[in-house]
Amino acid sequence: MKIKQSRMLRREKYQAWLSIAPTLILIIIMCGYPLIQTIATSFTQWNGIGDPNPVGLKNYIDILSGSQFYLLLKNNFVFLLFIPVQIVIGTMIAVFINDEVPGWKVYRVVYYIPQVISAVIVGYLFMVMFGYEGPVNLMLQGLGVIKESIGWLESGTTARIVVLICLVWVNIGWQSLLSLGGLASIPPSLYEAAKLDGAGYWKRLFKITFPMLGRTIEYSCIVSVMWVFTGIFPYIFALTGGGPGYETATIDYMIYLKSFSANSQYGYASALAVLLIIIVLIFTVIQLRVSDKQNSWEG
Amino acid sequence: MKKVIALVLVLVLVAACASCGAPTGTTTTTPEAGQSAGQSAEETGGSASAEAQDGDIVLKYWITPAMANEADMQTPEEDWFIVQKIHEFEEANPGVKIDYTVITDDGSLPQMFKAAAMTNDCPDIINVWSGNTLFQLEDLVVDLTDLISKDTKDNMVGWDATTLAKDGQEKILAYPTSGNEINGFFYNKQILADCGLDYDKNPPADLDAFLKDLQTIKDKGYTPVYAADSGWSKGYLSVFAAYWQQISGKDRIVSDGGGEASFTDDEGFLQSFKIPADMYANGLMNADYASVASADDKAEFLIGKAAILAGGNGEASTIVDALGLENVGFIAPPSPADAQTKNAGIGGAGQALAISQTCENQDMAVKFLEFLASKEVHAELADHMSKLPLRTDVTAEELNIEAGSVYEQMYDAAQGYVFWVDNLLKPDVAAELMAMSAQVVIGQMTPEDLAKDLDGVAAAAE
Amino acid sequence: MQKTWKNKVGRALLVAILVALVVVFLYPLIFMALNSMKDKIEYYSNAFALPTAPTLDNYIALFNKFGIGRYLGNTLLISAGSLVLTLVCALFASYAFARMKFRGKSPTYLFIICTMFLPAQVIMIPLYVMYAKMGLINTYTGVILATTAAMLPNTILLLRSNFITIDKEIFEAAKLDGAGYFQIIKNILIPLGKPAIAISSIFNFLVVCNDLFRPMILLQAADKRTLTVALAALSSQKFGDPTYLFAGLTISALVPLVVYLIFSKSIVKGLTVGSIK
Repeated sequence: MKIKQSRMLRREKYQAWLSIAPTLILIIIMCGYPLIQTIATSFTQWNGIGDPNPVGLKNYIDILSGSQFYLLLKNNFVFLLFIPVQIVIGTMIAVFINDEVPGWKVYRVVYYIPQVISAVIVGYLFMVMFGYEGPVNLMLQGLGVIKESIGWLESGTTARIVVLICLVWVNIGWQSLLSLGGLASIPPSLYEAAKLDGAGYWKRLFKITFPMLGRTIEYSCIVSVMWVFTGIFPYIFALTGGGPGYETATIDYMIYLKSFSANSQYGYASALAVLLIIIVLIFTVIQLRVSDKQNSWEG
Repeated sequence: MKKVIALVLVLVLVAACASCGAPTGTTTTTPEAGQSAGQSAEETGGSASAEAQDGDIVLKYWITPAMANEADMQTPEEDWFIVQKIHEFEEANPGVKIDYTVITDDGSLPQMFKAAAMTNDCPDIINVWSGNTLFQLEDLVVDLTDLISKDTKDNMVGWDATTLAKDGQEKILAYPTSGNEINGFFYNKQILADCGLDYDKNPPADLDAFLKDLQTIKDKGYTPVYAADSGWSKGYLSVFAAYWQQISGKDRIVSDGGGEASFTDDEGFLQSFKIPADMYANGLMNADYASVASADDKAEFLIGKAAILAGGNGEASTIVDALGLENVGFIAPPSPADAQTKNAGIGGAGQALAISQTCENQDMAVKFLEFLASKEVHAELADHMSKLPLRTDVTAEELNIEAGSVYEQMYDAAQGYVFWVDNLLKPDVAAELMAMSAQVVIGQMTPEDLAKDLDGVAAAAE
Repeated sequence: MQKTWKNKVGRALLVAILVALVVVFLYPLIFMALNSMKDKIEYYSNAFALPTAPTLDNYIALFNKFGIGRYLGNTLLISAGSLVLTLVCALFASYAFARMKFRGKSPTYLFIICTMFLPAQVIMIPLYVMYAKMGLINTYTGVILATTAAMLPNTILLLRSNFITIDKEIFEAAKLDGAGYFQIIKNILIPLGKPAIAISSIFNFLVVCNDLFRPMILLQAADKRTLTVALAALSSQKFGDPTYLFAGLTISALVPLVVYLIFSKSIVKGLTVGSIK
């Protein structure tokens, strides 16, 4: 018996590694090797021609002592602000859909559509929507909120607001479907008990629904934070091009700019990339720690 | 589910076969090259009617949309003018094949070229932006100074855009191409007439007179000047930067960018921003300068709401289509009193054709570029693109330019062009200028602050 | 949670808000589609009026002159190729992570999942240089491989968490019956894992369809371009026809939209069943 088991285990080990092999090889080649290259390049100055010129920590020092990096970082942080909005609105919508409010089937399908459209299209459309004679300005003027059109994309603050609105627009549908799933696992008996105790609608919402959705919200937090640092590039590319000036540029957008412009500064871009990875890791670790604490607290 | 997987697997196999035969376009000549060239003919749609054979010379050529006008952009590449020229050359030179690839993102082309230069798969001829973009590639392209024919050298303008002056020596790195360019102000004759102005007979004497006219136009209820940043600093770089050139001149601009002189006390630089900024502040320019999308950047002019458009010859055909040939005119930016060069608009050859040092058939490559630079091709090219030939031996009559028309006005103005300022500056400085120019025009940043900013960037770049 | 809003007015207000949201989500797309049927000048004059004489000229031009059919084909080819490759690799890998015991399982799994955090821009330049040396630039294979590598971590995450929920006994029983490796996959994993497999297929297809960055850098050749890249070229500088652009964007949006609408039920089920975690 023992011999058979160990042989079976060994066979399983071979099977396992063989199963993983294609995936692992592909990922190591496509991600692992370039990653190492990037780290190596970050310690050089290289414009793509000839050999890279090693300069040690110069790139990092330049980045961290300049002011632009902190502008980019600030923008990243500002864009994180969309997450609470997304979570609250998305979850409330989920609640309404769960309640089977009239038309819920339509809402469920339609609200997710922004996720299905290419980011470039979304960005471009938002740019048009917030133009001088775009629907947003016209509507605001029609409602009497403002007298003259606002140049949304002309100043840093308003441009960032437009990006935030865009990010919310894109993600509410995703969040609501996610929360909908989480809602399904809340036992109805909890609500019955609360109702018997006389708890009103809002009280039930905030005291039962939101806390019970803890894990779902946690998950969407982690994923969304990561997304802000690594995934909003196409939206910024199409909506503002990082502008006005660099007011809506994020770190990953700057990496693109530094790599793909006439004067490519691969060393600098690589150093930015490494810093970005470190930041993402820090955030993720913090979030996982917090969620671990929460979970162990719940027992 | 299984059927779907099977179907898709078949598709993938087909794709795999197709990509195996995909043209990597070598300059060596082997039967393999023949096969791949044949397949590439299907895929690029007709790079040659015959298949390459042993002993054939294959030139790999990267084209960008710079060689295509707005109408071309809406048709497949096989119908483009430049492709037809390629076929012409191939027919005149049996045994030579030109394997072309259209690279749509001409901003990334330098990167792609640098990466390709490290491999076996490098193009022989590339179409890049002239000026600094080309100069960055100095170590990768052939020095053409002694290879260009005298006829071409003497009869073509635009060499300033492709000649690198370093350490007291001058190297010509590429043929200027596509066409000459000129930018300035297009005007709608009907609107001007309605305001009592006629720029055909009485163009504004100087900048002050121009500004007064704009005020008159504004009082009549039209948008005086329509200009746009279009995401690439179009309004400033094409039109208002001319004032910088007019006042300070090319050498001063180069020293600013190099850090030897400073932007902060460059009066021409400051004026070049103050002029549009004042226009904007006084309502003489459209309010959406900074935010209008590139596709809409002529909107008000085309529908007759704006009197004057800040634009360039590349847009002339669209404008003429919308407003009618009799209704459009063109003037170069009217100069302020202290300008060194009067009434000069930004222009020059924006594009260049260079030969890579990895090219194994440089003689044939030069022959091809000479062909493209020849008088006949240039006349056609000018006709097709901008009506502004780079060759001085192509006259206005040969181009069938109507006397007195906007095309003639541009042709005349183009003779006295000043060069694109972003091509005179180091790339870092140019990038910073382009990122910030819209802010300054609409008054969110002062020209002095931008000057300080640029001085900082110029100092930091080595 | 049964009907909690007994208040009719409250309910009506709620419905009004939700309907308004529908408008907010659909309006930009409708704007785009409507304006694609206008002539450029008409659009400049009034962007919000309904087209007075709706014309499909832009669409015809896109198909005939611009050759948008070709780009559509390229996009579909790459999406399908990437989808198949991803599914095959992920299926085997997820099976191993879910059901097999072996040393180094956790670290390897973690490693693969962590590559999800890698922004594409970070690896794009070295990848491009590597591809240039391997001759993979401007090939379908190159893009498919790169996209697959990007889709794999997410897919494995999904499939693994789904496979783990399959009862252990089913596997034991099958092994006792003498089922081999491939038979287990064919007879157990695929049938029982169908919803997860379906959902990740649809997701992957949609994401790859809409991907801009990878094909933009890796697949520059004009004839092999994908739809998103071709349209990005149109929306950049020096192109002056917004209605034409809208038509192109509409076509580009229709492809994933149609796929989504056909499969919307499965998508909703997949997301809500929490099979993501």
